[in-house]
Amino acid sequence: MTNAPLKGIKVLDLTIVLAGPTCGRTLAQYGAEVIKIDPESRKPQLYQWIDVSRGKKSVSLNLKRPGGKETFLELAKTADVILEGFRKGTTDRLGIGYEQIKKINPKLIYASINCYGHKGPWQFRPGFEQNAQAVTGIQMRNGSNESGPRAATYTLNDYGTGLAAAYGVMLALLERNKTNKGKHIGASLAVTSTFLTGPYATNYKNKPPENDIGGPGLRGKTPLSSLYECKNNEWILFKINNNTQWISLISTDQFKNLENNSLFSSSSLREKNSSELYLFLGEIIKTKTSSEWISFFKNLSIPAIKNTLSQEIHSSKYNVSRKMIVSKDYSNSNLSLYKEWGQTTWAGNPVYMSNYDLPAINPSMFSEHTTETLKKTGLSLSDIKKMKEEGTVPKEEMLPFSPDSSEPL
Amino acid sequence: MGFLEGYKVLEISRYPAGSILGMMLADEKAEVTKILFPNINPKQESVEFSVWNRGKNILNANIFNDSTSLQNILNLCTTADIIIICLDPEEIDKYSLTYDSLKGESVVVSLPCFPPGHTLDYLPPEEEIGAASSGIYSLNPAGKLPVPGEGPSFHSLYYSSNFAAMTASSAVVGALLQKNMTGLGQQISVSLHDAMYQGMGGNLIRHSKRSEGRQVAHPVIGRAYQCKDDKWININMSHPRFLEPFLKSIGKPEWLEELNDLETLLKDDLSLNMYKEKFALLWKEKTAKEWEDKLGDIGVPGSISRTIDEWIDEEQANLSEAIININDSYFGKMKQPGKLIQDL
Repeated sequence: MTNAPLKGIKVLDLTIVLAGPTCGRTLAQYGAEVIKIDPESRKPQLYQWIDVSRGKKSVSLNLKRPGGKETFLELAKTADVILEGFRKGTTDRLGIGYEQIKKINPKLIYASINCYGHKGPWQFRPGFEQNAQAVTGIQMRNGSNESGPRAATYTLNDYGTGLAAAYGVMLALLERNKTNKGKHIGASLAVTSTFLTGPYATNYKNKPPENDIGGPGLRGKTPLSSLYECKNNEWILFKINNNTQWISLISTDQFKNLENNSLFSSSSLREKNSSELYLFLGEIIKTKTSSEWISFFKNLSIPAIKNTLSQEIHSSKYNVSRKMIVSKDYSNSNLSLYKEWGQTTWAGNPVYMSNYDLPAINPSMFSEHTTETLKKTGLSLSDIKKMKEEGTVPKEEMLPFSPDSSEPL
Repeated sequence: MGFLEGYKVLEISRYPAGSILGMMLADEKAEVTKILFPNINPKQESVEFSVWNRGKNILNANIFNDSTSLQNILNLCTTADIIIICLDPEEIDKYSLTYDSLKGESVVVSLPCFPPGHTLDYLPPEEEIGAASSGIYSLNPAGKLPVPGEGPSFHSLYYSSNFAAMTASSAVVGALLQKNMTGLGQQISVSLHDAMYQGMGGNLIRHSKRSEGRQVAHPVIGRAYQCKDDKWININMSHPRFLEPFLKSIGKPEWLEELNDLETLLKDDLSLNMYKEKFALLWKEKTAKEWEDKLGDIGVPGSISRTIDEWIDEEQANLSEAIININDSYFGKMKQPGKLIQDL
């Protein structure tokens, strides 16, 4: 990784759950040395670790035990970036807040990640993905007040906030190249959620009351951009954007009955009679399988795709072959802790850069790099032994993870 | 003041993903020039156009029907630090908008629907295509995968376009950092479909004790409860560090031991159902706002399931800059989503 964009950048990652660790993982992907720091009591669940701690070194250090904070500050002196996702005020109380770190390392980039934003009355409140989805309207648009709110498909605010924070950290590093100064940046789940809501999170004069489309059983914005069930019970989505595509559709044998149907003879009539058009198209789509329709629409240059389930994406051999699903078998590992992981999978890297091959990044074991990292701060083996006795670092060199459970997301 | 002040960006985008990436760069004060041509999505004078093209210079140039306009734009490309290409796949080759053809020192970032060489790389970067191919419409976390008989549920949020733009944003800055060292531009490609794998995250993780992508929920404590005023509150308190202070605050600390002992609880249907009923009834004692304030005061995660319009008007949304005020050339004074990164 001699040409990595973040070569030589050292990151101390104090974050947990998904958002903050996603930021650290992204920085590792661009070549930063990312050191994940957790006390032994905060061991994450294995699936989360595999997901968002890949490419990182793992140090277990309790900042509240003897020597813990001092060791962290020693690491911070030579770090370029600190990532934290504590409730606001916690890092100040621990003595590792931005203003405190700035005194010993003025060039450091400090990224704070929280749920509701860094200003306003809720800045001190804790929250997770689901709370950000709820408060910003995502869940209510997926459900209703009568049937209840419904969560979004994936934990997109968490991952999105991690990506946003990585963008912010890298921007601050770019700026530091010019100014030689550090920066404190913030990202938050509710801000990301609002950003993802995009044009629906707007208000202006004469805004129409209902511009917000969502909810169980809704198939699309219009019949010409909708989900339809096929003969084999799979669903497809096709999208007709213009009159040329419409003409090409109704010129086919399958859809020729539409050509002379006065209900659909102009785009305004198709809009007016959209319910009828949806039923009409639905009956036709039900006569062939999804793969038959995909070929059919491809021949007409009309974009169409099979509606895919995440488990299909996971089990696709094609996705494994193109390394978007990474599969690694730990069953034969020499280390018994790794052996327990068995056949393991995670998502691959979606970025292509012509001057940099983003590396394959693997998960380490919890606390695997504690001793080697602490030694680099000047601590001797006897100092580290004492820290083990005092509960600042774990007694064992490596520790197993907590089992996956209902930890809040 | 923004992180990208002084950088020039040229945006040639027919689809939302390119506009969103351009907006992220414009939000950091890059000088973004967006080329406007016929059949662009989003259309001019739409809310989407106003949000995703804020802070940009708009240059009207019918580059796909006028060779002089196209040549002028290709000349502009040589002076841009970053070029965003988000077009139909065939247009990129036809009009020589590939990295190799541009031959400059720019960072050229393309946002296709599927990566080049993929069996579906002929498809355009339409949001709905990227979304349907990534399972976004299929999985209903409140129930099974998907809810039997319900089928997929469409929604109109631009998740795959946003994820492509957000994923590409770090790569763009990475390329600028590299260019500082080498002086060289480069090509970046992030597809809508593949970018969504990062959003799927945990759903794609498997290990010896995890055979499917779903999280197991607490058997008693749900996520959403209807309150006294029929509004819903979303809570996140199954972890003991939140459950303990909550139960203390409602005068039921004795529930903690049993609610934490899941192994025993799952074997005892009577207790399980009793606690489920007690927990559901509890929320009917106060309005959603009263619960939200109480949970906020004791540091336990909980928030009202608001509508988007209610969130836009909420003090927190505005003070935290999740919502900002914009003076738009078409809509006038307008509230819009804020930028992703705050300078603290």
